[in-house]
Amino acid sequence: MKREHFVIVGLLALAWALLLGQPTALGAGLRVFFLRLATPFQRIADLIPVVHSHNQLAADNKKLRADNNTLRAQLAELQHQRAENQQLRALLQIKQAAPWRTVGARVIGRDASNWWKSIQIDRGTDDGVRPDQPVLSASGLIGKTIHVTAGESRVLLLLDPTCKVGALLETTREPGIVSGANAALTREPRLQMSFLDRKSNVKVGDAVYTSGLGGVFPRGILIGTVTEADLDPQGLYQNVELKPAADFRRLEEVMVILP
Amino acid sequence: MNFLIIATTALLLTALQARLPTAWWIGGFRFEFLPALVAYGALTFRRRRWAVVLAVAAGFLQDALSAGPFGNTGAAYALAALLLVTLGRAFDRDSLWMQMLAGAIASAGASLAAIAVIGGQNAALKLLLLAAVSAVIAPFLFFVLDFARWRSRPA
Repeated sequence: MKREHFVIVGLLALAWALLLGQPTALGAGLRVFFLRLATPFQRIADLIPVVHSHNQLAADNKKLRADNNTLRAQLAELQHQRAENQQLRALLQIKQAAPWRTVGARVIGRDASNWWKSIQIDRGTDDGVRPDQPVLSASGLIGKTIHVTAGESRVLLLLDPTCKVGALLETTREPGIVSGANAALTREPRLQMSFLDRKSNVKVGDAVYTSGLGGVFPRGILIGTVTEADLDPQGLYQNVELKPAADFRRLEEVMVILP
Repeated sequence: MNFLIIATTALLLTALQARLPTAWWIGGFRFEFLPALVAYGALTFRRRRWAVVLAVAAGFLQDALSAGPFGNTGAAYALAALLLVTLGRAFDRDSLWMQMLAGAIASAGASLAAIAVIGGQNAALKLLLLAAVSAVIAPFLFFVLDFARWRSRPA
């Protein structure tokens, strides 16, 4: 018998012994070894029907992708409508509760310059809007109209250093002037309240409302809350920083108080 | 045709400037594209007056969509254009650095004019950032407009 025959017979005997015998460590080890050896090829073999049906799958995939895109677009639209709906509901609640005559407006543009803070809205003189009319969001005061045309108006935001609003501290009823913080870069929109008595007992979290002085803004509109009060030792007044009640980063729908 | 290209570009850039959302993550920054257009006009037009006309028009467009006093930016851009025309005659217009410098000068001019009105408290960083961004935008605009004007030339 040749050496080759010994090998074949030996392997057959091993196979027979493994087949008939009890599970052993050797058998288990061999099983795992061959399984690992065969698995990659098995996967290649599995691909053969895929290759046959590739065209069908590609077509299915294309259709599913198109369906997915449509559904994503519909979902995005629904989410957008839901957010808009929430904003409009909030505005409607204010409109129903407020004693003023108002008109809703949509924000259609922002300031083209970095140095002034304003927005453009889609309401103008045709809708009864005039210059120097207060503009609100669902959360609080936004600013006032400045340039008004037939169908559009520019609103000077509270964030602008040139927009000054007569204000009152809710707790102490002490008056001051609120305006945009300064021309610097700020990650969070901030306001400053100036001309507030240095003896005033200001606390972080105190609400600040319009005072009604000045004739533009009616009394009692929420402007923001105190985030920082700093007493200048040489100054006559306190420097107070406010967080605006309105979210100036997400202005979409606003309300103009009509004359 | 050149006029049409420049006018359309000015309107598009103004709309873009007013419609792009504010980048609060970099301190409430808004991208400005018109300084780059002013720089382009100043370094490209052979006649100084056309560079100034474009600068004033660009400034007026910006002021029309801003709460700032109308004419403030127009005047600043005009002065910047005059300076840039002089510089452009002394230096290579096609140099990348010259284009970047021109964009930065136009932007800084408009910023200084605005600061003169509202005050310059803590405004230096913002001025520098705006100038840097305009310096980056300018070469892109030069490339696009040069290409558009070259394509539109009669054969």
